[in-house]
Amino acid sequence: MKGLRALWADRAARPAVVALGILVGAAVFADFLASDLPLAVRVDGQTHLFPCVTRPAALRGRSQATLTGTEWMIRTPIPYGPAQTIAATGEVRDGPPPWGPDGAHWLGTDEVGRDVLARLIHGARVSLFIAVFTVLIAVGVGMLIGGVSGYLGGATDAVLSRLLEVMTTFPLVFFLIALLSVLRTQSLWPLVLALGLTRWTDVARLVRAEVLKLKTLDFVLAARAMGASPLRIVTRHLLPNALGPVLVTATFGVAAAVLLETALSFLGLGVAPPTASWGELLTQAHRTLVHPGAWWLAVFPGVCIALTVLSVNALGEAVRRKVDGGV
Amino acid sequence: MKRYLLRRLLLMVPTFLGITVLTFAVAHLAPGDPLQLDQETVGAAQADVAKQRAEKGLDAPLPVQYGRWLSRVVRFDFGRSYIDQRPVSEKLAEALPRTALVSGLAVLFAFGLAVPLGVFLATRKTLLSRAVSAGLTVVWGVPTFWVAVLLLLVFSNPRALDVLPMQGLGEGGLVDLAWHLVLPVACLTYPTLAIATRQVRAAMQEALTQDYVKAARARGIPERRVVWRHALRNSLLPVVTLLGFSLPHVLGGSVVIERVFGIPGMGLLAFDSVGTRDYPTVMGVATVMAVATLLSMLAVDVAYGFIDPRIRVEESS
Amino acid sequence: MRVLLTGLLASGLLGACTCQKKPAELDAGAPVPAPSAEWMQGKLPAPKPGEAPKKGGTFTLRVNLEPTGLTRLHDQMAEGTMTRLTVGPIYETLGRVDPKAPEGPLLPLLAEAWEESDDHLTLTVRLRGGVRFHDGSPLTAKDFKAVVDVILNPKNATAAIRNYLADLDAVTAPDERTLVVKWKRPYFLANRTFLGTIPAMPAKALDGDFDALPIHRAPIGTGPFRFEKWEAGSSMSYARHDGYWGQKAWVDRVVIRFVKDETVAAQLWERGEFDLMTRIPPTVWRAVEAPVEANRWAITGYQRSAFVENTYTWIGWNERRPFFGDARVRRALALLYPREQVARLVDLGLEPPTTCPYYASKESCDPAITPLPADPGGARRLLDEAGWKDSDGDGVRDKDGVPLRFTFLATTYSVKLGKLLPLFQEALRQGGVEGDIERIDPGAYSSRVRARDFDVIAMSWSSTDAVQDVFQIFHSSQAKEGSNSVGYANPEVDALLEQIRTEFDPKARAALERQVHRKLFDDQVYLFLSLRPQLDAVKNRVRGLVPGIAWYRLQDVWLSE
Repeated sequence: MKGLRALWADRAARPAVVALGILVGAAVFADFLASDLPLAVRVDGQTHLFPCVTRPAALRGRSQATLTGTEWMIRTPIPYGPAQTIAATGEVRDGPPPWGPDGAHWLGTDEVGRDVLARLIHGARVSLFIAVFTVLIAVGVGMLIGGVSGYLGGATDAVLSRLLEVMTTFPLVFFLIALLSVLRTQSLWPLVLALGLTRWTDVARLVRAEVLKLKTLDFVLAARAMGASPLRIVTRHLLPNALGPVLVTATFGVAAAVLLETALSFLGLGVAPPTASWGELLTQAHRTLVHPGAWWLAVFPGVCIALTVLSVNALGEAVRRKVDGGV
Repeated sequence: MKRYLLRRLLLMVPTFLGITVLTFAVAHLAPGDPLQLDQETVGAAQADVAKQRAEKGLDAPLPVQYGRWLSRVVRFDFGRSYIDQRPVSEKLAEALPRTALVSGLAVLFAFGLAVPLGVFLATRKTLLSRAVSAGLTVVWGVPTFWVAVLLLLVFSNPRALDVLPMQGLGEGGLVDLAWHLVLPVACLTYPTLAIATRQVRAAMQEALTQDYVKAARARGIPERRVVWRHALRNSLLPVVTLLGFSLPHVLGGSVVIERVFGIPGMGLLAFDSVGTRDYPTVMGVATVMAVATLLSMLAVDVAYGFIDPRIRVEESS
Repeated sequence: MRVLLTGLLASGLLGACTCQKKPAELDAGAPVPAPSAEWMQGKLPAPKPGEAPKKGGTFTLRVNLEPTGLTRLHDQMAEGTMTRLTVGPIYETLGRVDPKAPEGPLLPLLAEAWEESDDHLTLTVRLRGGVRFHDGSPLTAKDFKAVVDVILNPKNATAAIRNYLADLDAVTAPDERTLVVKWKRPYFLANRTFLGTIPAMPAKALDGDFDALPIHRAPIGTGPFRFEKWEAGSSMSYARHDGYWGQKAWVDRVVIRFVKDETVAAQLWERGEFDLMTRIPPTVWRAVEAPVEANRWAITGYQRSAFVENTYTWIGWNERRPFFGDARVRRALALLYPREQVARLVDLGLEPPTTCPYYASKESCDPAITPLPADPGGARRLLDEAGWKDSDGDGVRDKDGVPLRFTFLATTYSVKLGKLLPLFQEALRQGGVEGDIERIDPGAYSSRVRARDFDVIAMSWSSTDAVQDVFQIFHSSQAKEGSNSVGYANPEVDALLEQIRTEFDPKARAALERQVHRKLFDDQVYLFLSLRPQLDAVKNRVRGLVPGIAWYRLQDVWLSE
């Protein structure tokens, strides 16, 4: 909270904080904003509160568009779910989808008639989830390895440094294909794991350098002289002091992960269908941009991605200013 | 210096082994093997397939297979691709120059432009510099494949500006080649340019506040010289590091860009061979990448010594 | 500042997209003519009377995948469709399928004539005289024998084509122009396969390490075109073989360009870089139909060809799973399939529905069978009847504690499945059935299918001959290792398929095949989807192209300008 307030005080970072706030808000409240089921409904003598989140069995296979016999209903602002195709909405129009933006679909639909806005909102959840957890894993692994390597030095450092070199070159695609086919799950975890486990090297290198620098400083020497255990010295004294630069790297890492997700989607290695992600929408756009000219599939996710990356980077810069100024 | 180089070269051996072992393990972790790929449609006799597997050594334990591979590679024999039966070295020799050309040019442009641009942004605080700075951040935020598609749509579309070729590297001739290189090189340049410029700018800004710069100014050395001689030299260190880390990616190629522009380089070779479980090719690509990375890391360390005489190479290992 | 820039970016993108609507300045002015009925249907125009073929020119065509080798023999390189397209003009076989009557007897090609013994166990072939390979050496019966020997050598990676020769007893070449083929047991397709599949290759080019033979990448055949060069990753070219024994080709060169990316291929097509654009995606096919300025290039510059080839797509239920063993469940799932929506929105009305595992338009299919229409109500009743009810109130049907929840296995690259499966998934949900989608890379896909490690797969079968045998696909003996990956086993179908193998009378065989068709439909082994058409476009200057079951014959092509 304190950190946020401090960022808010940084005028240059304010638009970025606002933009990210909106994106995170959309991601968190995605189910309330865009869903195939309503916010509340009374149907068949039963009242359902927030069926869009609870997804009761009684409403299975039904949606706001096709629900009949309701006494009353409070719709979600966007009355479509992210995976709701025309097979569920029953929409019939002249041509096949993708359909351009209009009153029914504010940002148009994709190739199977799914609402682009609904997919963007739920895609924010997926893209941000991937980005944040990738970075968390990368930071965790990176700090551990970098910290140990830097503090212990000697043979451990030599071995870990080689590992660092190995991972720096290791091609992500190999790892991803292998993980995906071994784990065989519909969830996002293989993607997050693969990304996280190949992207910790920057953090590790940074932490190692930082620890090498810090461990010769007086306060660390003093702690050691007082008989503090190595674990305590690393976790209490060294890592907290290395946290600043790590935070900066991590922020930029989030932006990089958002971009990576789109590239992997393009290569067919992204999230499992029918999950929405920004990269998945852009990949459809690649197919439909020339024929039949579905610009809305290209522009809106493109803007979302650019906006996120920009905001996160601006935030990173702000954090850097804070860290540099604070130390 | 000689002793240092020798030590560094020796240290490369474990890293090289590490990379290849890891690639080998991960590649074989993925289920599926090359001799099964087309069987479903052709219904080959199982006994024959088993025989062929044995002949190719695919039924040996993984460590044994790795050992065999390694013993051949030290004799520069990468084996034959399982898919098209061509020698892997031949495939690498085809792909590597293409990628080196496209990506090498991109790195050259990116860093060549980043240094003057970064210095400009660090020393001038005008509307233009702010705009350039913001522009670089914006373009960095746009996915590469997306930019590639848009560029094609604008520059190679018969309904828009039909000026640049879309696919491949042309059919010989320098002019033709250059023409074909414009779009892919542009797409690969801009993200690196954005990052590198940011680095140079940050390093430069920091350098300009240092005492030796102030001292140089106090001695009446012209500002131009202060910036380009004294400050720049010191702000190049992080750039060199970045360059070192981008080199392996350069040779690894960008799958996405190679795919969109139809350039059969290292990135596509790696991607396709993983997809078809063509292990000899996968390992060949990994080996080339490993060697390239290690050499570029060494180059970075040596370059440090040249740029900043205060750093003695012995310490930086 | 930042907000403003984002706005600019967005409008920049919009600008880039609207600029393509700008009319082409070349022949602006005259209104774009409405496409003719033939153009809309994809029927290539009949040859113009009074036009004589002329020699010369380069014919450029696009294919979407690069072959891994130019051979019919090697397992890893002889991928079906690609080989057919790329090796076709170079290699010749003894006989060829009659494009006008693909279900009829083969036409002689390198053979002058052949004779089948009454017991169907001996085939005697008389070779055409005076045929020379591209390297100048004469074709003899010994060359054919050498090819067969290479195929039969168990050390060679030729298992796929060797499969066709499983019942071969011996091949002999008593003289230069006579080939005698003996079989161990009678099989109606044996001779036809031999005549139509074994390519003529020079014996001396087959010496040495089979995997490393240069002929795999630089073929030497007897066809109307000879191999010129192959630029890996981008293109290959053939030149007219002036020493060809038959009607020589008209064009000087054929250039085959490999363009994988559909968007890029469509743009190259629009730039006019292809004389023959192949594999046009349905969306692009439909998009160029409107008579507007932006489509002038396609409507006035190209002819279209929609040929429904012998390829059908299907969804297969792994009968080893608890839910799919019951034919009623398979039928119910078929009733939930949103056939009409898929036809309209995914296939864009271009893929005729089918239920038949045989060549679509011929006698082998029972015309009385039509695809099951979508009928969610009927599906629910069938599932209830089969005991799949939602007993725990979670909205998903279950039986004995097993929920009716399964996973579709799809490759990452299939655009059609990317659209079809989400539609099917939602339709299934309306019936209380959960279908997840797992996308994996093709390498893992085929090994999973081979290991029978899947719930549901979606694939296609295609054939280059209208006379077919589906034994490998549906006989229970093929469930473990053959192509019967869904594990279908019906003793009646087994008996029919065995009977078909030795039935040499086409009429009698067709009657049996109709019974197979009926049984497969009753059992709903597959959910048959549709026939996949081959959507191509041909530049106006091109003459003589006729699509057929064996693709196009490029030696007939000539250029009017």
